[in-house]
Amino acid sequence: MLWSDQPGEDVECVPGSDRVSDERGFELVWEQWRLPMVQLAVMLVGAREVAEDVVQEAFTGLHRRWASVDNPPGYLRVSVINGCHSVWRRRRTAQSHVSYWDPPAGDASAPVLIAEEHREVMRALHRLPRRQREVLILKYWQDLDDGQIAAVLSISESSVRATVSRARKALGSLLKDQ
Amino acid sequence: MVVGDEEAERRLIAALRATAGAVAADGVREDVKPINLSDMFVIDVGQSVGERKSGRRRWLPVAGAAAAVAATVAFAVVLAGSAPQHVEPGSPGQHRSPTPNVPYATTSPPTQPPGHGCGGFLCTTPLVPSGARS
Repeated sequence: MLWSDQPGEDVECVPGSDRVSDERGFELVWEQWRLPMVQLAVMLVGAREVAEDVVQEAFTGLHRRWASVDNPPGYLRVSVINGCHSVWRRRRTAQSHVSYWDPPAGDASAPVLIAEEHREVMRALHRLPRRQREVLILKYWQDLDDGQIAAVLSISESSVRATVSRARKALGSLLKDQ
Repeated sequence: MVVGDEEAERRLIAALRATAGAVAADGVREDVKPINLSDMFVIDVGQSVGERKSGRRRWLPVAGAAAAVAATVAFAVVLAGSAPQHVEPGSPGQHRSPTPNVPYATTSPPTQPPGHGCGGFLCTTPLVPSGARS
């Protein structure tokens, strides 16, 4: 995995290597992956504040285990997903409603209409079962292949393919044809 | 009318990108980043983060576990020593019931160190005459 050390330059950053100090390596990971992780968490749980808390926990855990982690982005991804699982479990327990985070609506023009269309899709996505939602986000947002998704979610590749198929059908049934 | 799989996929991708773009536009909250990590972990392990990464063992949890084990063993020994042992009435090993209201009964001052010969480690109950109420 490559992280940018200098602007426009990619260098290999291996935890514990002599080339980049541990703290500097962590800084690089933070700079490169903080936004994608928050984006992933927002897509999974819907609430911005909650998503940021999940990501903070993930980075804290990464720093604590920095010396033993071979693949920081992979660790972060799994940690964020597991953190989102905890959020869902707490929601079921507390039976509390967490409003879905709304992106800025903007002014009364085309961006507003586009935003509403996307909000409709995201609301439909959040009505899907958790596993289907995760698979769709990892596949279509993080561009992971079936093998990578299987590794992250600790399921088989055949399960990934089946889940993607079911999820696409379920999403289509929730969306209205315009 | 339901949306086909391909159309749903297309709209999903667009929605995900739009959502991600909005997150990026809002920026990431600064305190999402763990800061002052060295201070955060000093209490945790009694060492700085730098010392932890040098591979030194975390001695505090080990010492705590050892203390807990030692306390558990000591407590078990106390319980074993104070548990009333079953002896036949009138046997030399009989000792009075640990009942607060039962008066302490001896016919003569103890002539030997506290203990009634049962061999109990912590038993300090003096001998009582045979036939005495237990």
